[in-house]
Amino acid sequence: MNENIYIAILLASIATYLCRASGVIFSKKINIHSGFFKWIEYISMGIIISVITKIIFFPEGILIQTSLSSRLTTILFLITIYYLSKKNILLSLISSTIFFSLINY
Amino acid sequence: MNTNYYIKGFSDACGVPIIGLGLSMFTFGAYLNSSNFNLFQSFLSTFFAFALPGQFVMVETVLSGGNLLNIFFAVLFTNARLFPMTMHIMPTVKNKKIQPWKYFILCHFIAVTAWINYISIYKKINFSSRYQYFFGLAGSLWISSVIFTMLGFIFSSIVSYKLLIILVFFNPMYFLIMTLKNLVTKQLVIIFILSIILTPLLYFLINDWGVMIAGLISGTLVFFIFRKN
Repeated sequence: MNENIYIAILLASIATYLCRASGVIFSKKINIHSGFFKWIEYISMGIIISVITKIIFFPEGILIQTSLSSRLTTILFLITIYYLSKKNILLSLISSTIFFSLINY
Repeated sequence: MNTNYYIKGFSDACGVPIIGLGLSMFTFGAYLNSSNFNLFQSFLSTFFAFALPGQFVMVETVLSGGNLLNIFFAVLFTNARLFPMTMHIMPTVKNKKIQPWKYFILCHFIAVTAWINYISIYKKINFSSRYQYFFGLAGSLWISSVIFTMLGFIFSSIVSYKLLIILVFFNPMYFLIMTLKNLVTKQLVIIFILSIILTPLLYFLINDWGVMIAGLISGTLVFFIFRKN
């Protein structure tokens, strides 16, 4: 088991680094004023939003023990506080974390 | 002085970005402890395979008895999102004074938290200092993640399980707020709405691939609609 873990970490490291290193290689000739750069920016933003949506709707790990309604309510609370507090990030995050704990326990 | 930009990057990482990512890494450290990893393996995991979703997948595949090929491809597909993010960041930090091999060091620090913080500010930083700034910002996030993973491993028995669940939701909330902060054009707002709609639909159809493809479709669709602008 122990040896397997070390090999697993090694393989995970190679796989992770491949994703980044190939990004460096393929970005060599990209001009930041080009349409292609804009497209990459839009795709990156789209993927990040998809990742967040996935975590909220279909979480993995220990978050799966909370209900979808509690996660969605907290997200609505977070967005409301963010705009009501004139985009105060820290305040909206702390109040939403407290809110999330209150509705779950 | 460009050295100042390492410090500026570091100071911008301090606070909410490090706390947000750190809490998730802390939880991951606790998870590793409960999964029969040791402290050194926890350290190695975040030091070399830094990208939380991929790290979780790696552990889950090991625990479920997956073979080495399973582990490699599961992590590769999970972290595929790092590819466009790196392609987006690299052209913005490149300058002739930086030796090419250094970009292969810098790319190791690229992850969602660093990317989302960087894109909100990089246009205000002059070209020649962006490499240093990103190194300070993303490097601090990486090294703090290593520390938080180990702290999570060590103190997992002290922190209650219920608290860990609450803490782990902090990071997605932080990502969401930073995304909202970056929605400065109508194109990005439309990408935001499209991705939210498409992700659950595609996830039901093709599981994890749905996440990548939803982002790909949203970004591409908006790009072609507004191409002439």
